[in-house]
Amino acid sequence: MNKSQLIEALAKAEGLTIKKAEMVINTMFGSVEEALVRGDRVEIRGFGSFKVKDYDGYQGRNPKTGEIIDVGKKKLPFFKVGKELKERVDS
Amino acid sequence: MTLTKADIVAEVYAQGLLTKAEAADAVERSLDLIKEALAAGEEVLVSGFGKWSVRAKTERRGRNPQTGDPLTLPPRRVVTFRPSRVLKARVQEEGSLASSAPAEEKPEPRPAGNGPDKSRVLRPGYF
Repeated sequence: MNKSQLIEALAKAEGLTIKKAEMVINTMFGSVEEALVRGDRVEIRGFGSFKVKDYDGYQGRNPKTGEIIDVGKKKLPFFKVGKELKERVDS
Repeated sequence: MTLTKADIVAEVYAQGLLTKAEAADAVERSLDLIKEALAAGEEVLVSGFGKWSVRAKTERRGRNPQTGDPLTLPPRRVVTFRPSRVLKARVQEEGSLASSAPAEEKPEPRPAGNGPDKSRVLRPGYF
């Protein structure tokens, strides 16, 4: 399922116009994104939580040339699956 | 601070197109639709944000971490999330001015002898 299919399904299920459903989906993911950019956590019960994880830098190698490279510190968004979703997917 | 479902509903309501009840229902329904798709084993791709997919794990031997007793973990299905390149880049540049970043990110021809650009590894084919 991609974003436009999600928008269509939402419009149909809730009796909303496509424009309104699109606003809902864009606002939802937009607010999650903004929170993560601020470094905040996001917690959606039954679905999951998002947070930003800090990773230390390390020395790696270019697998093609074997050259040693420094991989800098980085921050990555991380999603932890919520209990309800976890159970539904595995049943 | 933690963003919760109530905050998301408030943001949707603040767009001015829906009543509070409609906004709450729509957010709840969106999450349900995503959960249903994943429960059916389907992938959910929100371009610019990320992709949830369902992965099958095979049966494996594990141990009870408390007693050390060996046990067999059954095969199971788990949800994984991969953030989009856009989301990763935005989280990375947290603290800097988001609006100025795209201009800086443009690849510039590097002078010879300066070594490879170690700052970014772009994997082709990933949205």
